[in-house]
Amino acid sequence: MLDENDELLTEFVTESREGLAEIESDLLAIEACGDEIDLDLVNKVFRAIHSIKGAAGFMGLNTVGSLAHSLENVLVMIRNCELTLNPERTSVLLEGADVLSSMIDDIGNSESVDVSLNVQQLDRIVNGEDGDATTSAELVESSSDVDSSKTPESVDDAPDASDDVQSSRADTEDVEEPTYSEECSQKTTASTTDTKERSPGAPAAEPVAESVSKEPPSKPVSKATGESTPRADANIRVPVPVLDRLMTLAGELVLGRNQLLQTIASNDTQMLDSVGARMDQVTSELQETIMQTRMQPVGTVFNKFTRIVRDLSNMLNKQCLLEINGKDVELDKTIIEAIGDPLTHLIRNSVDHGVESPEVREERGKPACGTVHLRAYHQDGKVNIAISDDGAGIDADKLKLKAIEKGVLTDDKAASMSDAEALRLIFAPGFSTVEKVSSVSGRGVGMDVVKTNFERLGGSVDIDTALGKGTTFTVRLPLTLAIVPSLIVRANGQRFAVPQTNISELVRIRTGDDSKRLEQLRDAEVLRLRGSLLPLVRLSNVLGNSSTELADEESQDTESSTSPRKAATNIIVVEAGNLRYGLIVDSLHDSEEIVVKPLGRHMSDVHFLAGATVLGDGKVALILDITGVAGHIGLSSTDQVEPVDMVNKKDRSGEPIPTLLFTNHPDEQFGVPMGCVSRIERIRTEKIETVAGQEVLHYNDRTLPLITLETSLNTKPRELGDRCFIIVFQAGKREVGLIAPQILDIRDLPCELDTQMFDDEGLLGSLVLDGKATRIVDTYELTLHQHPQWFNNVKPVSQPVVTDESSTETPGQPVILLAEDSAFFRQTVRSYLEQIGTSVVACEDGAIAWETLESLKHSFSIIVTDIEMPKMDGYELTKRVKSDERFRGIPVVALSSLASDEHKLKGAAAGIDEYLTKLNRDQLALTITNLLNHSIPVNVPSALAGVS
Amino acid sequence: MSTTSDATAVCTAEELEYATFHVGDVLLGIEIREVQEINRNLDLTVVPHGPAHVRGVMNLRGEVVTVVDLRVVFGLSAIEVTRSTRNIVLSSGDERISLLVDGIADVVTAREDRIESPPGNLSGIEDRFFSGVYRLESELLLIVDVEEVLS
Repeated sequence: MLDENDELLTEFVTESREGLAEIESDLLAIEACGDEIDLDLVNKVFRAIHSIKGAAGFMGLNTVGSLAHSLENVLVMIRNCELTLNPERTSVLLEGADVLSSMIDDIGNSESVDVSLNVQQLDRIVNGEDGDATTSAELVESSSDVDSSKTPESVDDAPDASDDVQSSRADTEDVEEPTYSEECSQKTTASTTDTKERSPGAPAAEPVAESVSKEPPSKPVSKATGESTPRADANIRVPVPVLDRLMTLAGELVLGRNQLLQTIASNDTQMLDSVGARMDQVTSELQETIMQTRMQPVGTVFNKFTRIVRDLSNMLNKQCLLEINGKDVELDKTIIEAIGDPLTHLIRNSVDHGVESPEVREERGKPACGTVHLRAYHQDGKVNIAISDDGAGIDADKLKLKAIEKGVLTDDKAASMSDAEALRLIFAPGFSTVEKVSSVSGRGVGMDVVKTNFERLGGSVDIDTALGKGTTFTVRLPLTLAIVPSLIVRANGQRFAVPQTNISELVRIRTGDDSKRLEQLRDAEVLRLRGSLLPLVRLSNVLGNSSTELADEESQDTESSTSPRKAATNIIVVEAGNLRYGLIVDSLHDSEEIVVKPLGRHMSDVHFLAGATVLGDGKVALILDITGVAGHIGLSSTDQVEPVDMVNKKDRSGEPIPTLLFTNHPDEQFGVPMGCVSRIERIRTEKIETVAGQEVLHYNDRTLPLITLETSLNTKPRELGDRCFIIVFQAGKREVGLIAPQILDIRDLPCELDTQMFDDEGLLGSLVLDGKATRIVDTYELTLHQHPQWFNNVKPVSQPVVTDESSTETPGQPVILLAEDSAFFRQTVRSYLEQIGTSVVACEDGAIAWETLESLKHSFSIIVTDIEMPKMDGYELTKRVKSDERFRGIPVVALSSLASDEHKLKGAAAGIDEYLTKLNRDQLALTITNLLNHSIPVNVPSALAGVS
Repeated sequence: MSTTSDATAVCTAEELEYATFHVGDVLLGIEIREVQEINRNLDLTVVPHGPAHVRGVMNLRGEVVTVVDLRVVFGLSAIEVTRSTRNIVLSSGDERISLLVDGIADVVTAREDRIESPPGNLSGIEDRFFSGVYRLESELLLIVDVEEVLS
C-alpha cells in the first residue's frame, strides 16, 4: 500500500507537518487561556489532528490514526468546555503531538512505533482519571522524558493497557467521527466540508497565501530519526501573487531577448542602450522576486522555542516565560534552516545558566518568574536576533578564573583583560561555566560551535551582560546567502571576491608613507591605523605559488608588490567575528553583487575559499573566506588582544573623536571632526569657478558654495594641484564645501583641545599631533564668519524667556545643564548651545551634574547629557532626574556616539526624551529650540518658527 | 571530430559506444552515455592550494565546473595546452566535472563481451584507473573507470 501511494504519502506528510507546525504554540496558548477558551484556536488544533486522523485511516496508517484519534478525543472535550488544560494535561497532549510528528517524519516506520502509553494517557484524561495527585505526578514524571515513555517496561507499569481505543472513548456528542474509511471517502469526494478541514486529497484547494511557506520547524526531530523521510523538505510554498509576478517578469525577459536579438541583427547601437537598460531592470526585478520566494518568517523557527523554554524550566524547577517579538522578520530559507540549532542552544543557555531559580530570584527582589525575550529586528540591512534574559548575568572575573583554570588564559593576560574581552571567553573552544555538567546545556556543544555556526552564515554573535540584571546575546545575520555584495580585488594576477559584510574599510597607503604606517612587529607586518595596530596579511603570500602556469606572472607580481615603483599599497580592513586584520591586495576592482556557486568536492580542503562566482565577463572568480584566510596563515583572534586592548584603554580615557586631517598650505595641518562632514568630493581644481567674488562648484545641476580657510584664519594661502578635495558639510539649511588641497588621514584624536593658543573665529582649538600643531576647524563658525547672511533664519533665542528668579544666569535666558566628560565635546556643545541663545552650565560627569541639579542654584530648562561617562552615566542620571518630583518635568536630551536601536531603547527606558547622535549641530539646535518652544510656549520668539 | 551528437547511434545490448581520446600517447575511452559534452573552453581560474590534479575551475553556462588534469591523475606531467586540448564534461554525483585531455579521437563501438580486464601496468599508468581493455585494429583502447579517476 505504501509503495503504491508514494505521491499521496508525500502529500500527506507535507500536509500533516504543516498542521503540526504550530500545534505546540497553539496548545500552549490554549493552556495560557485557562477557563476562557479561545474556540478558534481549539478548532484550529482540532482540525489539524482531525485531518491527520482521517488521512491516516485512508492510507492504512493505523498507529498514526489511533494516536490522532486519542488526541482528538481530548480536543473535543476542550472544545465542548468539558475540560480545561492544566500543565499536566498540556504535557500529555504535547507529548502526543511530538510522537505524532516524529512518526510522520519517519512515516515508513510509523507502524512499528509503540504509542500505547500516549494513547492510554490521553484516554485517562478523557475518562477523567487524571485528576488525583498520584496519577498526575506520575504523568509529570513520565512527561519529562519522551523516550522512556516508548519503552515497553513503562507500558507494563501502566495499570490498564489500552487494547481497545474505541471503547475508552468519551461518550461525547456525536462529532464527525465516523470510522476512518467512511470519513476518508467523504473527504476524497467532497474536498471542502463545512468545517473547512484540511483535506489531504485536495491540497490545491488550500488558499496558498494563508499558509505562506510554513516549513516544518521540527528539524532536530527529523535529523534524529535519520534520512528515511520522504523529501518533503524540498518543497516550498510560494504565494500566488509572487508567482504571477515571476511569470510576468519571465514574459518581459523573453520580450527583452527578442528585442536584443533584433537590435543586434540590425546593428542599431543606439537601440542597444535602451534594450540593455530594459534587460538590466527586468533582471534585477526578477532577482528580487525570486529572492522573495525564498524568504521565510523567523516565526517558523521561533515558535518551537515556547515549548522548549516551558519544558526546560519545568525540568530545572525554574519559572520562565518566553516573550517573542518580530516573528514576521524574514530571512532566506537556507538561513532559517540553519539557525534553529544554534538559537536553541542560546535559548537553553539563557534558561539553564541565565535565569535563576525562583527562590534566588525572590531573594534578589526579582519576580519569581524569569523572562527570556526573543526578538528579531532589522538593522543596517541585516537581521538581528536578540536573546535576553533577566537572570544573573555573567561574572567576568569568574570567567577569567575559569579560563585560567582551564589553561585557556595566563594570569598576566587575565589581569590586563577588560571585562568585554573576558566575556568573549565563553566563545572560546572547550569552555563551560557551569560547575556541574547539566543534561540541558552540556550536550557536547559549546558556545564556540554556536559562534562558528552563525559565522558560517556570514553572521556574528555578541554578548552584553549586567551582573545581577541579565544577559543579552545578539546575533546578526545577513538577509540572504545566495547573492552577496562583494568587492572584486586582484592578487597574483587573479581576481577574487571579498564579501562586503566582511569589509570594514579600505586603506590606501602611498609608497612614500609606507615606512610610516607599515611596521614590522615580531616578524609580522602591522598597520598603524588610528592609533591601534592591525595585523596585515598579504593575499599574494596566502595564495603562494600554486600554479605552474602562472608562476612567471606571480613572481613578477610579488616583486612589484614590494618594489618601490609601486604607487600605493591597497589594504582591505576585514572583520569576521572578533577577528580583524588588513588584507593587502594588488589592486581593487568594482563592487559587484555576486551569485555564490559552490566549489566542487575536490576543493573541499581549501578552507580559505568560500565558493566561486561567475563575473560579468564570464570568468570565474573565487570568493575569499575571511576567517579561512586568517586560519591559513595561523592568525588567530588572540593575536588581536593587544591592539584591541589599546583601543579599549583609549576609550576609557574619554571618547576619541574621529577627525579628518588635511593641509591647506603643505606646512600647516588642520582637522575637521568627522561628525560635521557630510561627504568628501575629489574634483579637478579647474572646476572651481568664481561667481561674483564667491567661489562655487557646479555639480549635479546644483551650485555648491565654497569657503576657504585663509579668508578667516591666519594661515598661509592654499597650494592647489590639479585636483583637490572638497569637504562638504551642512551649515544651516545649505550645503557648503571647504576647499582642502590635500587630505591626510582620518584619526581618532583625544578630546582635550587647547583652546587658548589660537583663538581665531572658526577654530574649536588646537593640539599637537605627531609633532605638528594641528588646528581643528569649526565649520559652522567658519561659515558664519564668512557668510553671516546664510544664517538669517536661525536667529538666536536671545529674547527674554521666562526663567526662575533664582537663576544666576543672564536674566531671561534659558539655562541648559550639560553633562559631558570629554572637554572637546563639552566645549563644542557649549558653543553650539550658546549660539542659539541659551546659557550653559557644564559638568564633567553625571554625578557632578546631579549635584549641580540638586543644589537648586539654577533652574534648568533642558538637560543635555552624554551617555558614556565616568562615575554616573547618562542613563543613570536620566533615571534619577525622572524619578525625582522636582526635576521630572525637565526634558533630557542624550547626545551619544552610541546610537544603535539597542541604545536608543535603553535610553527610552531610562526616560530620555530625545536621543541624538554626536555631533550634528543643526539637529541639536533644532531639538533644543523645539523643546524650549514646547516647554515655554508663551514666550518663544517668533523667529524660532523659522527653525522648527 | 566526434561530439556527443554521435551518441544517437543505435546501441544493442552487447554493443557499447565509447568516446575515445588521447592522454599522452595512450588511447582512452569513456562510455558515451557518461559524457555530457566536449568543448575547448580553456579559460580556467586557478584554485590556489587546490589539489595538484585540479587544473582549475571554469564557467560552463553559469555553473562552476572543476577541471581535472587527467595526466596529473595518472602521475604524468601536467597537460600542455595545445590546439587539440579538450574538456570532456561528465556528471559525477551532483556536480559536473571536466577532464582535461590531450585530444579527442573517434567514437568507437565495442562489443561488451570482447572487453578484457586490464593488464598490469600499461604505459606506466596504474591499472586501477581502468575498467577494461578493448582491442582495436591498430591499438588498444583503455576504458577509464570514471569513479576511480575522480575519487
